[in-house]
This record gives sequence, structure tokens and C-alpha cells, in this order.
Amino acid sequence: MRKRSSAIIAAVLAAGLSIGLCGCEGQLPTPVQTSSTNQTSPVLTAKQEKKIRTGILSTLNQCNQNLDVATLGSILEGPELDIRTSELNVARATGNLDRKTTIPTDLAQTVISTDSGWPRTVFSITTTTEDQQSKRLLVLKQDSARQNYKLWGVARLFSGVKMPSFEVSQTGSAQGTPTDTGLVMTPKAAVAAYADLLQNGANSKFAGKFADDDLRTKLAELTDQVQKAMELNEGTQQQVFTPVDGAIAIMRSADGGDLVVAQINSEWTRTAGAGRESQPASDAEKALFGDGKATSTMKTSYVNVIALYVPPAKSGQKITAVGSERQPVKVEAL
Amino acid sequence: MTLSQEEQEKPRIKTGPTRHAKIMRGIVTPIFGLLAITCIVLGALNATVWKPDSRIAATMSVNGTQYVVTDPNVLQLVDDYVVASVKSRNAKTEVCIALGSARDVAGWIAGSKYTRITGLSDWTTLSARHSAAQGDPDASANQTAFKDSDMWRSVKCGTGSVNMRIQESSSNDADNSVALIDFGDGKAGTVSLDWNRRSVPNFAMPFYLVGGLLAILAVLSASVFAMPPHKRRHRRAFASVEGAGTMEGDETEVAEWVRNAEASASFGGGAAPKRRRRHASHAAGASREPEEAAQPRIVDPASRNLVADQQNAAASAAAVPPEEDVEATSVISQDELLAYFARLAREESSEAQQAAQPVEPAKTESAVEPAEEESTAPQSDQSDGAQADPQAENSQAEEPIDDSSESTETSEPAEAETASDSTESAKPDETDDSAEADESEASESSDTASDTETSETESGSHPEASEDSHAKEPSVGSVWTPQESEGIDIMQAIKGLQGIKGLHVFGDPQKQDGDDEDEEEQR
Repeated sequence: MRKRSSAIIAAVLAAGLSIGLCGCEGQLPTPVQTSSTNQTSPVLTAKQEKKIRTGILSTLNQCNQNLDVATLGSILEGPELDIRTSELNVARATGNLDRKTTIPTDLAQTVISTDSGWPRTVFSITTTTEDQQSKRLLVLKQDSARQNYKLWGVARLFSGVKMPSFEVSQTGSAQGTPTDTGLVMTPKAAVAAYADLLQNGANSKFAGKFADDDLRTKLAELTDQVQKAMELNEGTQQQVFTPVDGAIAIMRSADGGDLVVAQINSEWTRTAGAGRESQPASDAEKALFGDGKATSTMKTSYVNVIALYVPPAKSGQKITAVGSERQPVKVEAL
Repeated sequence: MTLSQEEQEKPRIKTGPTRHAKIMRGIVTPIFGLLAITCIVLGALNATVWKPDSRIAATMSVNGTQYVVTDPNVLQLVDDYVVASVKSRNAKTEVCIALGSARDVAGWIAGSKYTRITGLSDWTTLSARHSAAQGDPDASANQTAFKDSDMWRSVKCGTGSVNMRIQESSSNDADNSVALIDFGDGKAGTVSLDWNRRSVPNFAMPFYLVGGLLAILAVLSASVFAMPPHKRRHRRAFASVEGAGTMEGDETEVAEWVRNAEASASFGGGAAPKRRRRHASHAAGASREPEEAAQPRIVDPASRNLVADQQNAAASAAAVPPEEDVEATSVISQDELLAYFARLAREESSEAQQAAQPVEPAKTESAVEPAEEESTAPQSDQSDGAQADPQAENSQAEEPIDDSSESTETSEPAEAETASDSTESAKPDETDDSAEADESEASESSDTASDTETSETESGSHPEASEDSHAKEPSVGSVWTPQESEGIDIMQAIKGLQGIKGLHVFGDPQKQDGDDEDEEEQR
């Protein structure tokens, strides 16, 4: 009796429950809650980075061809804006663009930030140019969410230099800060030390911390030449290197070091003695100087972009400059 | 006794279906059947007319915020493919839909108010919530336009309205795209998400399953559940129960079948006590529904009432004349047998008078040697061992009479007797019946001596014994001449014999044992 009645009750309940389902679409779905994973994904996909870079470069090429300086502001910022503007001005004066301004569109490596905030930095290393110039290190920066990426700096890498290794672009790399610890020097201090090194040469107290690099070698040669000329004229010359505060981009490499790209402004003051005129030292200076009246003192302002690799503290390596760019931006006769 | 009682009980048993069966078959089965049909019909309807829609379109209207953002994983709520449609109230303003990662979108709308699409409130409406984005509004100069931002994975804009087809894998990835809708200056409009389900829930299958189960229940309730409860029980257990309680006061039998029922029941232990209770009440005499099953007659050889059997046997033996045992005594005539019995009775009485007899050692000796056939009569008599076999003694009382006169002739029967006696003493019970039957054979062949009984061997040897009775008598001392004087009532002689305990007449093989023991006690 009990068995029968319970069977009847179960059947009635089942019928009642199932009738309630009739004509419905089923149970409403709810969104899956995303697990609170560590958001260490790159801020850009490779496709996005390529789109951004190629867009910028194509616009830049347009500007190069048109010698259009006005639109440079939409794609360039920071030291690269100054340098490219100067280069275009020189090109306008000289009639042709310096071949060092060439930036290939093919990519060798890209280092994409994983930073959720702003500004965001992307390092992209191009291939060598068609005429066998060295690779270019492009620094793309997005200053805020509502702004697009711009080319902030370009450094020509020294030939034969050993670059640090980075994570693959699918993984992304962490952005560094100017006061990163665990390194031989903080990036900011390293840039200041390098500026001192450039200024003082072998007499700098930081000379032991840096390895030799092409920039210093070339600069030394140039300074010597000018010095010889100055001595003939009984003139003097002086270069002052000053790092620009805040004009720095840092990405952490896979081995714990930092790749630092910073702007160092320099001023070169040449004073010709004995009533002689101080003339521009190079074609670029000449082009920039244009029709100016030379005096005995000439002050040329340079924008230098240097790329330093600051190794980790315990590695025993020296800070190495891996690339640079140098362009006079202003020539004035004082 | 059992049959008569059964006949008495039969008029009380009702015939035809029980109330239980009527309820099951008449009410429960139709109910289940109807439910089963209903379920199958509902299932068919759910598969066709009420089939869930594969297209789900949910909309909502937006008012007051420029930006509308979908929560993570809302775009893949129903299916991986979704068509997002945005329509502005102002047909001239530009509306845009952008897909980007959640943090990029959060960065873009920082500091602004926006509407969150959190999911489905029902199948045709999106659920939304107003919210304010964290952070400060971007105050930088030269901000890019919405559609020009580098951050979006894809963006589409239109004037007044825009549709965008979005396909995202429904993985639980924090980097999944969310949709950011920019209403521009209009700040009002409708947003709708359109999915096309590739897998639709199947509501027909549960109905079919339930319908099948109900159909099975209907069939079961019409057949198995409708049977009377005790009929569904194990047949063997039931059979042992059958007829046990019908006799009054038959408590030993009740206890018996309780044991049998428990031993032979194939149900669990819980069922046994229940049955026992039922059958206890049944045995108490309560009238229950009839059992129409066949009632096999139980014969338990261990449960015999020997006293009653003996009395019955005695009564029937008296009623049954010796003529019925024709097959046993085909060779010996009845008259000869009766004469022998009469003679034997006299022998017994005379033997009792004699205290020490040479017969006794001969009797004991004759009891010992069963298989010896060639031994001389006195030797055979002497070889017989002492045995408490009154029959052997009786027969042996005759043997010296027979053997002394004619050793050769009586040797075989005597030996047959001794052989039969010893074997009889060895197997008192089992050979009783067969011993009687082999009466004639014992006299003819000594090989069958093992099955012979004292009385039979005596009778077997009677043809010779009776002939030689004249010669034997003088040795014993008792004189009995088979003459006309034997017209004495043979029946009286038999009755006299019967008076002697231990002496068996035809038809009572069982009596031998008891009589033998009694005679032994006597002696």
C-alpha cells in the first residue's frame, strides 16, 4: 500500500514539475565570472602593434617625402619629434634627407608592455636597412587612454652590439621605472653617469662602470678634430651634456636588467679666438645655421638619444650603450 | 484427517478477484496509463510546437549615459556568435561599437558615467546597471576620436544605428573582449544583442522518459501489484506453509513449517517475520483468503507416532487374515504354517519349564555363526554365539531336535536358520519386512539367509521340521504329535502364541523388535 501510494505521489509531482517547464526556453544563462587572474597579458597584440607602427611609419614617410613638419606632431613626440623636425629642416635646406633617417618597416623584435596603466611603452627593433645600415630601435609610447601611440624615440643600434634578451611578444614584458633597484645603477643614475662620461671622457669618475661604445669613440674623435682646429684658431670649445628629466623609457629584459632609452641634450660652444668666426662644424649645422651671421662664438644644441643596457647588480657586467642618435637642433651664433 | 479439514474450510474461501486486485486493476492502472499518455503527448508537443526558439534577441533602452559597456562574458552568454545592434534616438548622431579588452575600455571611460549590461533578465530583455567608471577623466589635449583609438580590436561606426557581428570564443579569459558602445552626443537609444543558438535544450526527452516509466508502472500495477501479496511470495516457502495451520492444535507442525519457511524463503530477512506473523494468525484459525494452490502431502519419516502406529498395526493385523500374504507363503501351505505355530507354542511353554538346557549353549552358538553352511548340526548349534535373540533361541530350540535326528537334512535349514538368526540379530529393524517376504526362499537357498527372519526360517524349515517333528520331539522332551488331535483350534494356538511375547505372527514385522527386547527382558 505504501509502495503504491508513494509511486502515485511521485508521478503526480513529476507531472506537475514538468508541466511548469512547458513552452519555456529553458533556464536563463548567467555570465561566467572571470577568474581574478593576474593580468599580465601584453597591452597590444602583435597585430595591433604592427598596425600602429606601420601607420606611424607610413605617415612619417609621407612627411619625409613632403618635408612636412606640421603633421609630425600627430605621430611623433619627445626627442624624436625634435630630431625629425631638425632632419627635415636640414633636408629642406640641403635638398636631400640624410640617409640616417631611414627607418625600415620590417620588424626584427618587439617588446610589448603588460602595464595596465598609462603611459605604456613598446620597444620595436627593426631590421637593418636596405643599404646595410644598422637596426633601429623604435620607442612607441601611449601617454593616456584617449591618446594613440606615438613614436617617441629612435636609436640606431651600434653594429656588432649584443642586445639583451626579452620575453616573446605574446607574453609581454614589464615596464621599468627610472628608479628601478637591483641593477648596477638605477636607470636615472645610469643616464646621468653616461652624460658625465660623455662630457668628461676618461676623466669621469664613472669611466670604470661603462664599456666602450661607438658613440663615445666617435664623439671623442670629433672633439679631437675640432680641438685641433680650435687650437689653430686659438679658440676653445666645450660640450655640456645634460640628461633630460623625464625623457626616459625603460623596459625590463628577461635576465633582470633594464634597457633604458633616454634623451641627453648637449650644447657645444665653440669660441674662435683672435677675432675669427666660429663656423658650423657640420653640414647639418650649416644647414641649420642657414643664413645666420657667424660670430666668434657658436653654440650648437644637440639632441642625443642613447640606449643603455643596465645589467643586474650581481652580474658583474658593465653598463653598455647599445645605440644612439645625435642631431643638432639649433645653431646660434652668440 | 487433513483432507476432511480441508473440505470443511473450502466453503469459507471466496472465489474471484480480491478487493486489492480490483483497486489495482480498476483504478491505479488506468491512472498510470492516462499519465503515461499525457506525458508522451506533452513530449511530442515539446518536440514540435513548443520547441524552444533557436533565436534569442534581447534588447534594452539606454537613457542618460554616453557609454554602454557589456560585462565580461556577456557577449558569449548564449552563443559564440552575436550580432550587436545599436540605435540612437537621434538619427543624425554617430554611434559606434568597439571591441576591446576590459582594461582598455576602463581606461577610455575613466571618470565617466556609463551603463553596464550585466546579462539577461529574461529571454527578451537585457539587464543593465548604472555605474561610474573609476579614475579621473582624461584631460589631455589632442585626444583621438573614439573610432581612431589604437586600443580597440575592432570598431564600427554608423550614423543613427550600427550593427556589428561579434565572434568570440567563450573561454574564461580575462582578456576577452567587451563591447563599448558610444552614443556620442545623443546619449539615448536602444541596444540589442541577437544570438542564434546552435544547441537548443531538449524538453521532450524527459517527458518521453517519464511516460515510459508510467507505462511500465501501469503494466506492473495491472499484473504484479494486483496479485495477492502472499501469492507473490516464493513458491517453495509458501508450499511448506500450506496446510500447516489448517489443523487445530497442530503446534509441532506449525513450528516445523516456520523453520522450513525461513530456511527455504528466498526473500530477505524482513519478509520472513512478516510472513510468520501472518501465518501465526493463520494457524490460530483466523479465516483468511483461500489458497488455491495444490497442497502436496508432506511425509516426514522422522515424525512418526510409534505408539499409535503400533496400535493401528495391531488392529489391522488382527483384521487382516493371513490369507492376504499369499505371495509370502507360496510354497508352504497355510495349514502347515498353523500347525507349526501350534507346535511352537507348545515348545515355548515346555522350554520355559526347563531351567538348564543343552539347548541354551546350542542356542548361543547357533546365533554366532551365520555364514557357515557345512558345519554339522550340533556344531552349528554350538557355534552359535550368545545373542539376545529370543527368536533365535526359539528356532534353536527346535534345531537340536531337528539336527540330532537328521543332521544332513536339517543342517542346511538349521544353518540357514542360524545364518538368518545371526543376520537378523545384526539387522533387526530393516530385515523385518523383507524377512517375512523371503520366508520361502530361506529354506531353499542359504544364500539369502541374510534377509530371513527367525519366524520365516522357522517356517522355511518347517517342511522338514514338520516332517521330522516326530523324530525331534523325544530329544527335547516335549511331545507334540501332528495328528488329528491337531484339530485343536489352530486359531486358539495362534492366539496362544500371540500371548507369548516376542513371538511374531504374520503381518507385523515391526513388532519383532519390541518383542525381541521384551523376551530378552523376560529371560
